[in-house]
Amino acid sequence: MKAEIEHYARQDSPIHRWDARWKLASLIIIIFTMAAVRRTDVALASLIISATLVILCRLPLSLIMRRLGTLHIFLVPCFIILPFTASGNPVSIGPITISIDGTIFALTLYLRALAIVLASIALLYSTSMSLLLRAAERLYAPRVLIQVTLLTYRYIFTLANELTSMRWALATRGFHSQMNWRTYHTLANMVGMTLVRSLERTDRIYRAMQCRGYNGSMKTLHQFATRPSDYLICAACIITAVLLLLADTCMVG
Amino acid sequence: MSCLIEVDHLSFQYADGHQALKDICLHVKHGDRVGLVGPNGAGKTTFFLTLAGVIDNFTGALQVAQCDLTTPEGRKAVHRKLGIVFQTSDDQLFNASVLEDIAFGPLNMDMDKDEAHRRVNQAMESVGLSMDFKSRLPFHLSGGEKRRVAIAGVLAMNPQVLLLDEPSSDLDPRGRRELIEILNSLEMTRIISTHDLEFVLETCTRVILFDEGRLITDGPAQEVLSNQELMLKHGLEVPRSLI
Repeated sequence: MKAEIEHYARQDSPIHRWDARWKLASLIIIIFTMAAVRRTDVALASLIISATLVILCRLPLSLIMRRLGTLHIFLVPCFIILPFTASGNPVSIGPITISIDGTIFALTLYLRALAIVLASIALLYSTSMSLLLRAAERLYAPRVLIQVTLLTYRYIFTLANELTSMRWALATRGFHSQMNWRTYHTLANMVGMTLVRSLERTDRIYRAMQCRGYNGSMKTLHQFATRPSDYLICAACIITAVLLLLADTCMVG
Repeated sequence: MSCLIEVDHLSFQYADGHQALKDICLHVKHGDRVGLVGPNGAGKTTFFLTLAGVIDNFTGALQVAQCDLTTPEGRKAVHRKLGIVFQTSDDQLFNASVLEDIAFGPLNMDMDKDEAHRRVNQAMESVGLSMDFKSRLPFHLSGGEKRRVAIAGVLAMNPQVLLLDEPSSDLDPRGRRELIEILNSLEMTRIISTHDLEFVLETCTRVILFDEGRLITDGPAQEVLSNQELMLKHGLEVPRSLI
């Protein structure tokens, strides 16, 4: 299992060069603003802003499409259900009656979700996970939460490798996954074994940390440095967020 | 030469009642290269954890590099003087990059970042890791590379004593050979716990044999490991190179 995020986080682009603390703070503001918009045209504007961020990141189109593909698994059902279930002006197309308001709401929801996911991709794929978490720590996120997330991120790959090895071990002994109790029983054993191993590993990791002087904090060698351009990009993001909110509020009003 | 480790009537019992260490007495001098051998369950790892200050409820006297491990202060201070490399490197490499992992110990010793960087470079050099590894992710390394990073992480703390628990397990022949060369190039006092007796012959001059929590014998590596009766009695075999 490879860490795809880390691969793209090592590339170079204006978004990659942006100080992680400012980037995290600015993009969180933008993402929350996008989540709050109610108008379809403002949601479309949000999508254009997010798309611009992703383009600036110079991420491959195939990666974006793959990520958006996963998102559509959740969005398509909304598009199918909302026009038929939401209240509002009904329009009949042949034997089918759909709600205009429901359709517009579904479209707004779709654009908003796309915008948020694209902005999140720009954030996550332009910064290594450890740096992002360190940045969150500097922004006063709870230290324990950061440490737990750092360790989880580190060991999730080890855990995945163990699960793969167990799957191979099962396959080499003639196990085929089927819809029966034996399969459920075997898979439950596999998950249980993984949990037990994880528990034992946690103990060993803690001992290893203690032996290297762990005293509650995980310090880093990374030195965050703010450049004038970081302030400017952050200010631009805040202004964009305010404009989006104003456009949404004034026009709705 | 002065004693670096002084163990006097050390005993330890786990909470489940298992007596892991029974009345151990031994001394390790500066510069000693000790191999700790014995069958599974002999108490080797427990002995290491006790020396590292992780286990606290033992009985007897224990001093490592002038730290009295019967006191909490001593157990806290010993981390700066003794480094331990665990059997499974994955358990030891808990940071998201090689650089952060090697720097973990120096930063915990309250070193400034420049000094920590210097220590990291020095440690990487002594285990033959190129500087390109700094940005690598621990989970993308091979077994041999992980072991080197784990050793570098300990060496960066500049310990007086190095403990290695099964260092040659999971290594291919090349990785094992490289590890032997790395260890032989290090000057510091070390204790290596392993089942790989050929490895002990190549890296240690003294051997301590543990069985069922007891110290059975302590002597020159060649002499102890070539004693067939002793080896067989305690579930071991004479290394092929000594037959």
